[in-house]
Amino acid sequence: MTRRPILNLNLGPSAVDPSLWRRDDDRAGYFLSGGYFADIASIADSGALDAVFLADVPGLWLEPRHGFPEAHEPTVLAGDILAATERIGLVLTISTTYSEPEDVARRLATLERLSPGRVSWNAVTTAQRAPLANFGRSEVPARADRYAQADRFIVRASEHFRTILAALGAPGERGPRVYQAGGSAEGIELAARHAEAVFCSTLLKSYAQDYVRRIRAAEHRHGRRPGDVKVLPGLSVFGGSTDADARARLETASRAALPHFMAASGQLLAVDLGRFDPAVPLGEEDIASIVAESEARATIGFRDSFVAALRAHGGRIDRTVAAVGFGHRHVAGSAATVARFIREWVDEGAADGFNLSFPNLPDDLEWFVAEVVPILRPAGDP
Amino acid sequence: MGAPRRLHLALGLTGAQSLELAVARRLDPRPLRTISFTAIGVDRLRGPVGVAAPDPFVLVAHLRRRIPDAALVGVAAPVTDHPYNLARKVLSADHLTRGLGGVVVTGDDHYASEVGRGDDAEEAVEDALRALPRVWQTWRPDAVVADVGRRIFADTSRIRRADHHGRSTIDGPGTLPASPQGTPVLIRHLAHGEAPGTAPVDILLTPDRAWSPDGPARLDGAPGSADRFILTSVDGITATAGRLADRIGGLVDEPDAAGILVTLPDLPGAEVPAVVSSLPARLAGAFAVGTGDTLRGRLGLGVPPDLLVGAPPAFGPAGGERGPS
Repeated sequence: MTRRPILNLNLGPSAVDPSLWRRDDDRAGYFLSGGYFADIASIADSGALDAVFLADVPGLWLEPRHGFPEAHEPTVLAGDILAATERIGLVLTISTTYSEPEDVARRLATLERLSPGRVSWNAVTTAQRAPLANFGRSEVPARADRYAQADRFIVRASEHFRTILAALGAPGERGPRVYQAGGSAEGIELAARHAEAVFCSTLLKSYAQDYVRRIRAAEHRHGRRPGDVKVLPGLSVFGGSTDADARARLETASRAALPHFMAASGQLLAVDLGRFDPAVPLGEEDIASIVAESEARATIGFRDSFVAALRAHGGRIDRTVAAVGFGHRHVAGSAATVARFIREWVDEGAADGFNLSFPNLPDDLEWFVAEVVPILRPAGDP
Repeated sequence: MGAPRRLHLALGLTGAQSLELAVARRLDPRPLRTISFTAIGVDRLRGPVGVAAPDPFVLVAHLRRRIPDAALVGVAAPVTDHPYNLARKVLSADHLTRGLGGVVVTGDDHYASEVGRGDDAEEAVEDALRALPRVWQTWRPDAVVADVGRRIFADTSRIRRADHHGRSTIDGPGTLPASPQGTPVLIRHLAHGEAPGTAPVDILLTPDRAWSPDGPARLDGAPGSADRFILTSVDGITATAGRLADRIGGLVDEPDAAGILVTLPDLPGAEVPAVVSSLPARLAGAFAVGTGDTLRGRLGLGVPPDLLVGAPPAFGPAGGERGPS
């Protein structure tokens, strides 16, 4: 049976071209006053996408020399986006490690009251180190501790959410809609207990299918129905009028991305890949050392997905990045090719939809909405 | 003799009243631009509110689309949440309103006391008042260079650490560049009998002397440069815009103050938008009308001094990911 793919748009600046701030006359002010986010969300809204996603880290974790960082407090920005759009959902990130459940519940309940049914909370445990010094802490808590706290946090915030929402005139039985982002065993358990959807990094289809099976097994353990937790991998889309045009775009982007990836590996994988030559195949010993070094601090979903893709590409970092991307999977092609990729992953049990990002907003999004969405959702298909 | 000095007028709306505005089918945005500012979430200032307290900064962000160019200030009790998170909320709301934002900081969070905190509220308030402007100033006003030719967004040597060490510890920097108005307007609410503390603020919001059962707040030792606004309410009358305007118009003789912040009585929800929209026009002429693109400009407040002179840079020459120093 053909299922309707869920299509979310990653609106986080980390997912977009960092040079975007240069495209507007008002430049930085366009981002700071919210115009950029509202405009992009409006295009996604009119293009029948399901939701936009706002990532967040409560600290300036990347040096903002060339581009705009994840910056706005996401619930405040969400209040603005809701007012500027009609229907589209909003998934916003709040850390369970650096927030208070009562405050989070109050923010989410306010958004829910303003626009019922549109807001979901991406509950993350925040592995980055940058927030530590903003909260008087010295070490990132161990993964097991972060996720145990996240579980308690979500339960408590949900209770407060119901109470506050009832007091605001919108009583209901359910807590906030929760997303989870993380591929570790702890993250999957948390998702199976609380989440309606998971964001994940799955660079290979076979890896993605295995990930979906793990989610389904965890759903079963926690008494939920198969498919209750929607699986939404990240997907970076390079479109073009022809497959050749799109591939040329991707090749240019991949060449530029390789040094960026080597430099950013310390953050994504918690291990510096700079000591390796990306064009020389890594042996099993090297890969084992990457896994061991990154175990404590890596975002495990990114790490495991990358290692699987690296093995599938003969241990060569350059070929891996060129073939599937890094961090999140990429696809390049005409509208028909991109639609076929999305359809294939959904039909073959590798995803329920995607969290989309584009190298060039708003142009690429306008193309996707005009050319790809009609293929995936023919007229009359809800 | 010159003309008598006119007070600034600010309206205070409860969370519930603000929600009514936010979801109203019809709302005339023009009148609220004619007063100095509107404070969102004043129920925290005037008695137990239970849990029915929406987040004021989420409401500010939403309302700024309904009421463009109106100054919107949120009320916050920095007891349940960390001041770094509060600093982000206030600065985001200030950017979204293009420099027409601010925060009223109070220790009176009745919601917080319900969830078992609030014992050290005064210490938390003093700490937040010192921490917030330091986080807001971590990006010097000239840090965003937006140099297209050199592909430079920010000169990161101009981003500094907050270096705040008090009840909370915040190394910083903040996640956003500086506000269009330097920093958001910082207002401290003093409950009856509460000492003003020593943290510098732009405005002290004190109880209404004439209406106070407990006498004036203790203002001895207040930071000298702060303007004083008087918090007053027009409870206890059948509210129509006309009657409210008469009552508020009668308050302009309050001595020794730069302005008044008037909270409204409980109104039937459906009447809130109409009353709030028509009220400022009925008061036109009685109060000062500030001009300027920012709330600081409209209130005649100066640019705050640089609190981070000599603070260490946030990024070393190598850049990259930041962790604790």
